[in-house]
Amino acid sequence: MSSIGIPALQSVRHGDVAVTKIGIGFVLAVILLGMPLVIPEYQTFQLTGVMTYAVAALGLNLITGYVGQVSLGHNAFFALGSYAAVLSVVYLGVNDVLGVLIAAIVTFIAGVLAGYPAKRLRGLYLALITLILAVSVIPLVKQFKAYTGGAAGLMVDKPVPPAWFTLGQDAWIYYMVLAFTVVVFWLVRNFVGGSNGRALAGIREGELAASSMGVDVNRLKVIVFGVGSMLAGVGGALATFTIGFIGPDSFTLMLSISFLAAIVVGGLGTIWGALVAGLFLQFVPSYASDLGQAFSGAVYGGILIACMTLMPNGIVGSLMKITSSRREARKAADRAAAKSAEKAAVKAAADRGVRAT
Amino acid sequence: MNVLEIKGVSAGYGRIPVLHDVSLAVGEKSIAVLLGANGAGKTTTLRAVSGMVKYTGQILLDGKDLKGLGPDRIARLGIAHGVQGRGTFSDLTVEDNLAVGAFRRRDKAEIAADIEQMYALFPRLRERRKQKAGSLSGGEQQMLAVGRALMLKPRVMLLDEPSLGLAPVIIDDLYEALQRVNRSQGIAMLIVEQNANLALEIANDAYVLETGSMVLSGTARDVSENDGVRAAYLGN
Amino acid sequence: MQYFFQQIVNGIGDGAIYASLGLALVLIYRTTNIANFAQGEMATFSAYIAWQMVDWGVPLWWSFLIAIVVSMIVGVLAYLLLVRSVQHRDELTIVIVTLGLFLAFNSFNGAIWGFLQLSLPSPFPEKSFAIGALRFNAELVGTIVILIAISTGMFLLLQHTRLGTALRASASNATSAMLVGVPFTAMMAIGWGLAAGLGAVSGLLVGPKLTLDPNMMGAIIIYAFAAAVVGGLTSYRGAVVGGAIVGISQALSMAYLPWLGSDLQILLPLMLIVAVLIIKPEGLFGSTVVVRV
Repeated sequence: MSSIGIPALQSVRHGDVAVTKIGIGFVLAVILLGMPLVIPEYQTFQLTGVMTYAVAALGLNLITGYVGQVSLGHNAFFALGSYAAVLSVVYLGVNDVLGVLIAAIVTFIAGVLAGYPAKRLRGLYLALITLILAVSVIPLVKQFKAYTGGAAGLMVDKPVPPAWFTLGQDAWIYYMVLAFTVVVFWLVRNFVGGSNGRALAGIREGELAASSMGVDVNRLKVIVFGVGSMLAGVGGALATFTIGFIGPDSFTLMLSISFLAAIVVGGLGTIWGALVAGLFLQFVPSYASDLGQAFSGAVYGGILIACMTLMPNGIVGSLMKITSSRREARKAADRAAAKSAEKAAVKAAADRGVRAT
Repeated sequence: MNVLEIKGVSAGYGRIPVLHDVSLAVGEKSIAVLLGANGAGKTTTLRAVSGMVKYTGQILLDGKDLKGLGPDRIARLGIAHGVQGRGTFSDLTVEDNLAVGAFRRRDKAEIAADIEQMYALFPRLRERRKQKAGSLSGGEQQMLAVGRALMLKPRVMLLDEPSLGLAPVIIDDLYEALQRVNRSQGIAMLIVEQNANLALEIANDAYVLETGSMVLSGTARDVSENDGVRAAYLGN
Repeated sequence: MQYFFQQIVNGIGDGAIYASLGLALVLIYRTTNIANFAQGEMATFSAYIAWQMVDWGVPLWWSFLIAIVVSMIVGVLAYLLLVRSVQHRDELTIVIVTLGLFLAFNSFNGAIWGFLQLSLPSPFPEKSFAIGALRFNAELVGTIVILIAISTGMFLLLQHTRLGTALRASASNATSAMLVGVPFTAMMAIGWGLAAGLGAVSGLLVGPKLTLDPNMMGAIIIYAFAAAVVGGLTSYRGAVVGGAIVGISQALSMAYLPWLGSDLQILLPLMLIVAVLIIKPEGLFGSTVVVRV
């Protein structure tokens, strides 16, 4: 009797949240879609770059942030995806979107094959194997010079917009990459939500815990490595089509370390951390290299060390902690308010009762 | 004169309190036994003494306050702590285990002599001197842990459940050895035990902890004649 | 046949360098349970210190000695100032931090000494001699002698000194080591210092052989890891044998598989290591891996 008014009060608040969420989504969609209309072409191109990096970073975040496996071979899958897409466009005559999908399939298979040892090897050994993958890229590209253009690289035809599209090529590529990015983020969000998310956390915390939850740890690890590598491939393919050039110098070990630095900065084990990572990868290297050759390494090194020692949750992780503790506080306040409301209601009822008798 | 004095010590892990205002003393060349059920705080008491747990109150070694010192400093001052579950260096040989026990000492010739003495005390260890400690049986590891603690030539030796998991014959040997060392070298001991019979036999003083508080203390004889103790710890 | 043996001899020469860096990796892994990805860059730093001393007119052997001592101090500082605070965190954190250290040293070297190639004089005379049909040059013999000397020195230090026993005890069981009075932090710092010294030796051997630039050790650290992995990262003997295996297989593949091309030949020894890791993750010499919690 006393609690009648309270659920209603809460559901209003729930309704509010849902409405706000839809509202935010709508605004976000308008901003993302409208961006190329208002910003200069070069910035559109840069934003496209952010998204391609974010997709690949999301892949590494799955492997490293969600499962806790250290991979230094992300550059290899980024490269593999790029070459797979370019070569299937050149030799199979498929269109760019199909090229990206082929890159996804190829890198998924390669990731599963590489991840197979990963299911037995944790941490350090996996880092070593992936390190070897990382340094194999350039020799392999040079070896298959006839197809890859060797050290000099290849010019790649950028996707051409259809006649009805009048905003220009960069905008067209922007929308294409945006579509891929949204789909990828949505899929990964669903993948790590719910039971999968708990299983992944279980693996990270300790494999025994995960297996006792009934999770097939090995299978899940291999799949995650495959999916993570696939995202590197997709990101690489998209990046290559965006830039219009492919060459081994873009795929050094340094790229892998940059990816690692970026997801550490963004926040390990967070979806939106990958987006921060994308921004980081697009903008930090060029600013850092403006400061001098030695400086980019110093920037990355300093960031890695500082983040790991001072801010292990990264930007997004830290923000989430702040907001979630706020949310906790608000919930606690709500609970307290509800309780006092309840008390008041009980008291009022009692008063009425007293008066009635 | 007491070698080790614990005065009004309270300690815990994080926010969970374990010890409340615990006091005890170990006299020069004497053996004290600390009894209590699982979770009463016996191990925590020892950990506080060797600097592995933060505490309030005072812990004194020969009148010197130990507060704020790290475990290695405290060990070098002369407190040897044989932890529960033995804690030998499993990938070092038996002999190296004993040698590292004497880390705080510089008297090379005497260290070698003491190692020989440990072998005399525990002949099984001599047979296995070149074997890795990890390959020893539970009883042998316990002997090694005690031997290693003795190599420190401590003022006080803390032993946490030395009889845990050992066969009765071996337990008898072990306690005989402890008593011998105590008499011949005058090393004071604070022994934590759950099975109290043997410990009370060789001890001078006894203390009983219950849920973190000292509920009984006195000479070993008095404590062993206490009805509550007899029922709870002596099995009659 | 003579050609074949000559390749093996040359391979052992390179292998000795991988082994010396590999020994440093094993030493750090055993004492602090950390795989130090920055070891190669620290060795490059050592080579630069030696170059700087030579440039300032210090005699060559003194320059090398100073470089080794400075490197050991830097190793100790790296542990105390940085690694110590993350040592007990998860493996991921540690790997990332040592990668950060890798970048920090790499760019520090570049910032101070530039990216142009410098040349560090060789401590060995340019002489060679023949035993039967095999030719040995002084550099090769010197390298092998130095490797034997440092391995023996390390063995004696670890197995037969009070400090060595304490180091091993700390690595084996940190808590128990403290309870017998071994100062844990000091042991870890000494471990890092010794490893930095070993790494310095490898840097000083590589420096004159290649040219000195900030990325000099880039490939060599990977071969050193490969060598160390043969022993499961825990066996000194394994690191030495592993170094020889990597060096010899590299020399042989260059001599006999020219159709692979120089690029793929580089990868061959690494493939070997991947095979070892997959088939026998504990390495060929490593004791069963004890997971420290």
